[in-house]
Amino acid sequence: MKKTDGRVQFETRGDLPATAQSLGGTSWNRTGSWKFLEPLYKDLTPPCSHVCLTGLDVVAMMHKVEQGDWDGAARVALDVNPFPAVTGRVCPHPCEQPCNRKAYGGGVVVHAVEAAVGDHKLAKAVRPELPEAVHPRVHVVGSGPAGLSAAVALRRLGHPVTVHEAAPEAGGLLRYGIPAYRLPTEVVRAEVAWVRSLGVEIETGRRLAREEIEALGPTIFAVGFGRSRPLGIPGEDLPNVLDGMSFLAGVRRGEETGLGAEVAVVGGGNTAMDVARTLRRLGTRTTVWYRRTEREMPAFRLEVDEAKEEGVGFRFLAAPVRVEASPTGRLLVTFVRMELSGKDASGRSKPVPVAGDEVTVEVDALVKALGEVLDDEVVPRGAATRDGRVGVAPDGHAGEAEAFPAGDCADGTGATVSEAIRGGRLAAHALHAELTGQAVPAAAPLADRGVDPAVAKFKQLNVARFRKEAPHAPDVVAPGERVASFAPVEGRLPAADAVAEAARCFKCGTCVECDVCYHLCPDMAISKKPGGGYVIDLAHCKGCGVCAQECPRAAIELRKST
Amino acid sequence: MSGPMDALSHEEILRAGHLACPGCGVTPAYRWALKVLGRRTIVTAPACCFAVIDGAFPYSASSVPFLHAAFEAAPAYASGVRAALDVTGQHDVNVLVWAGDGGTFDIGLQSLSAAAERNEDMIYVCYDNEAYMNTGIQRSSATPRGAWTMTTPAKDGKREPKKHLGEIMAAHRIPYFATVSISHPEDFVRKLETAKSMRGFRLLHYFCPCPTGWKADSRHMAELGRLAVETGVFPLYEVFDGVRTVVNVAPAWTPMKEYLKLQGRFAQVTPPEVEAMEREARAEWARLERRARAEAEAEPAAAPR
Repeated sequence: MKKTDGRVQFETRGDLPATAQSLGGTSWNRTGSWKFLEPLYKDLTPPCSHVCLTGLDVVAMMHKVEQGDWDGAARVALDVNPFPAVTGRVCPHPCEQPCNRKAYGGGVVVHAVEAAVGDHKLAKAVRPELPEAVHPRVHVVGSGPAGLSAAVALRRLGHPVTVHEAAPEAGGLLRYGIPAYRLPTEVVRAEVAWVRSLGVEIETGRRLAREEIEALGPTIFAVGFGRSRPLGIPGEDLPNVLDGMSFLAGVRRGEETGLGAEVAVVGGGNTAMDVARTLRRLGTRTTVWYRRTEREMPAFRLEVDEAKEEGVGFRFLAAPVRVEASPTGRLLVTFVRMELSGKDASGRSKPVPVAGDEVTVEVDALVKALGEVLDDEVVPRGAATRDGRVGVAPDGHAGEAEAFPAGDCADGTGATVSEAIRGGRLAAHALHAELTGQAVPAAAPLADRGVDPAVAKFKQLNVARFRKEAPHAPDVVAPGERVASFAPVEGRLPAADAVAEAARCFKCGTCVECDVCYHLCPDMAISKKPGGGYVIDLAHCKGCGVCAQECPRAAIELRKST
Repeated sequence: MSGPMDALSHEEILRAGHLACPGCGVTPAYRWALKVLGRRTIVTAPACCFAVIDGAFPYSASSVPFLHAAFEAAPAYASGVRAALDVTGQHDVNVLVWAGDGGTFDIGLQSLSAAAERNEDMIYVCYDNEAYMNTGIQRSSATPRGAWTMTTPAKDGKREPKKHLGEIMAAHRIPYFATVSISHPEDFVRKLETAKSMRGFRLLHYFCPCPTGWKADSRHMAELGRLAVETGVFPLYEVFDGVRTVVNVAPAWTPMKEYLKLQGRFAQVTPPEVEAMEREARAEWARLERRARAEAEAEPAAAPR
């Protein structure tokens, strides 16, 4: 008797056993030749990551949290975003909109988990790997989200970094713009301390002049916006007509304590909401006047809703035309009624005044929140400005200037802290390439792990193994209680709840090695690799497709067998 | 997965290259059973799909002794194996009967009843694919009402309801009876572990999707098991000593048509018949629940061991 490749060959009658008994296994039988279809492990893009403003691998972070690996979760975040404690609190979290869990118990509360990861990072001082600072020192002008993000990125690339900040404390918009009820001061201070702990030097309290900035050599230019857009109406210079960002900064410095009993706020963006909600907390009756309708407001939806809950009044389709001092020392503000007609350059409906249809109100102060523009005085020579922002060339330069703009002051950056953080990182990479000649590959955590750009849809998932449980969301303080202080509106998600919420995440399109395919394969064609992951034995896979059908996360594709 | 599935060994006792159809429900179940029971197991199978699947002479996909028995006599063969093991002091070896519904509900019923009555120390798994699939899809007494088979080709399929194996086994007062489904692996493996921890005659009734005989897509193997549980077609429960019933998974009452539409064997079923099937499933479930409740009240001491 001979055995060749597992097959038994009887050569003589004497080779035959006395009774019918097996003399070998069946592995020689290549049942893979039966198949028409074959499975392929292929991760798809989760809908959350697809829209994330920082490019975060949301699912990877969720998976680490679910496993209780908080340090690992923080490192996933740090790959693209050094400040998850900030973005978890202030990002409008577009990631939550397309969540596939929405159709099955409720969308995942990504932002609260992200904030918990960020808080862990701060509490345990989780740091990225830091190479020795062997490259030339670089300077960052401005310590807002873009500047700090750039500083961290440059430090991670091996540069000693100095950040220059005009204000007494670092943090920029995070410290002096966003109200404490959205982003507590201690979180900003902890983030700044964390940046310093990486070896980044931050010099505060002195505003650099243009010449000083130019003398620094190639520099990250992240000064944010310096001033508000003017109303351009008579009476704008009266004493109690204020600029929104200055007002917010005054409150954040602890200097501004109130503007009287009744205030009008002009504008429809986030600054207007921040000003109005801050005024409510100072005990002021506040009305927001906006020249378009609620639908056109650029403010985040949640901000508008929470402002309403807190008693902020709204008047739409009205624009101020003049301000006068009243005999009692207050202000008389006259608004003209507007109508929407056609579209403007931004694609929004264009408001046009209805002549003669005016209303005058008496208030203690008027706050302008029409948007902000760059302070031209600090822009390095050679940089081109457009519509109050610095233009950015494809290589990251600001025109002819040796400056790399990032954040609000850089043309093309979106209006969120998350986009400023991303912009800071990209500007840092451009500056590093300029100084060292070494291009930095764009951080693309999903592409790096071979994820297909196609987005995983709900109908591709097999939700049978998921329970339809409700989200674990942080407590939100009741509106009446909120306006009594600047304490956070939203509480923190306890760690156990964050883990439970991370576990609720489907991990769409992502193999998390749940073993469903492995256990259900009828042909032992899927085996576990020692270092993780699976290997498919196509010589035995019969192409039944059970693995792809049962995969809870659409991480297996069936394709025609070749 | 979790719990009992994570505890399973990654060592394969069943080998690839076996002859099951693509998407056959029997092999994952057999694979898990061997992982739970281990290499010190002797398998006996009557004529059934698995007698073919395991391989023709001189091959076997099982890495454990596999004794082919005559159609009507697997439990008798297994009784002999058990006696031989016991007499040689090999009490630790598990005796596993692995039989289809034909060899269990019909042809093997007498030897099954006899072995159960003697309370032979063995685990019997009936993988019920609801017809004689191996010989070409002939009806068995496990075929459900309404299903097409080669021997129930009339326009309304099989007219008689499925025989109730659970009640037959309960009537024998065997130590353990349980129903299991491929869609609930944790429940499946837990019940195998429960059976393994006991002595005497233990029977697992496994609802075994058969893409070939049910005219279904092979990829729906586990989905068919899941829908059978969700629609109440195949409730998951255990019976201890024949007198203490424990219900494990309440049906989600997914509409019956979701289960039927994946299977060509039910293509001829009319909407009123679908409604009748739903009524039957609910009535069966109500009976099962009533029994479980009544037994819990009557014999609280006979709680699961």
